[in-house]
Amino acid sequence: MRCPIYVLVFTAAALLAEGPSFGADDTSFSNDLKATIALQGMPCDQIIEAKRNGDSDYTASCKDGNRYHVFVNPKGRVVVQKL
Amino acid sequence: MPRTVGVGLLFLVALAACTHFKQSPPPAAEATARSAPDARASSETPPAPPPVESPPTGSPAADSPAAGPPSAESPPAPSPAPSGSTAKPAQPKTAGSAKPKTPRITGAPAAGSPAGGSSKPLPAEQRAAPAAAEPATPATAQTATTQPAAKPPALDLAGLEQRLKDTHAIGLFTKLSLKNQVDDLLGAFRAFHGGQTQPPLAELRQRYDLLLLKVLTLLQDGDPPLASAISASREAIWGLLADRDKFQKIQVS
Repeated sequence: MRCPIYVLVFTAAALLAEGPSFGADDTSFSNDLKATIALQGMPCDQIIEAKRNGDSDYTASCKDGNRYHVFVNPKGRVVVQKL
Repeated sequence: MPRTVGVGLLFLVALAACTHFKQSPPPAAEATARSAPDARASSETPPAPPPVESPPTGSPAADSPAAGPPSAESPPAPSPAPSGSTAKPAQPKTAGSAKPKTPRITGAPAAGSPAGGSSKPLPAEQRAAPAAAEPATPATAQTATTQPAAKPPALDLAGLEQRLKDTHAIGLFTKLSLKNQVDDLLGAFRAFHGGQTQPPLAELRQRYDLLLLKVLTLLQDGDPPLASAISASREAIWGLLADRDKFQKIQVS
């Protein structure tokens, strides 16, 4: 009976260890969006959701309730619009 | 018996070596001992002041023998000296590069402001300082002139730009956003130098400082060396932007 428990524990540990590597990209991208919003002088304490609308086009939802449309316009400028 | 004789011989040899060793160092030790109190009179750091003190006190010719030995011994001293000097507590990130500056700043009061030349020019100064100190007191004027001249070459605009492009501390969106803002500021400078609707230079400086602050904020955690390099080049970059001729050269290149 003990062997399967150990196997389960190791499997769970391995999965947990893998977790952050999957989330690392998301975290860095969230930070990127957050910094972009902050650079435009708009408030956003933490990104809780980032929905991709297209190439360089995202809708970001912040923890404080603010939502932003972040995109690159045809002139190559990053635009942050409050929704 | 032979053991005791051997031990006795060894003891004698060691004793002779010790006495011989003690005889030779005193001149150098005395010289450093003489110089150290002189240095402590003006500043707290013991090893760094000797080379620093020599230029200002160099004008009286009587000090040349006293100033000679410390300057000759100064090359090994500057490297440990910065670790001891805690003159700049306000800049923890740039402390590594700023520490060697502290002796320079105290040594050359007139050249304090362009100290933002980062750590690169300092070794050159440190090499130049002993070399200039060797000829004796008349060289003090030369050291005073070489110190400000050695600082400007610190700016490597292309290198900084490349490092900014390559850094992973800033995301793609953020980099693009920053580039937009840099372009906007450059446009404002272009208008300023072109004589069009002129924002005052003070306002441009404010915008420049703000933008630099944003960049440093983004970099300070992810890429501290680049942040300190940019921070050290702040005044040099401003010098390029504010000067019409230099700015036009940048635009051309």
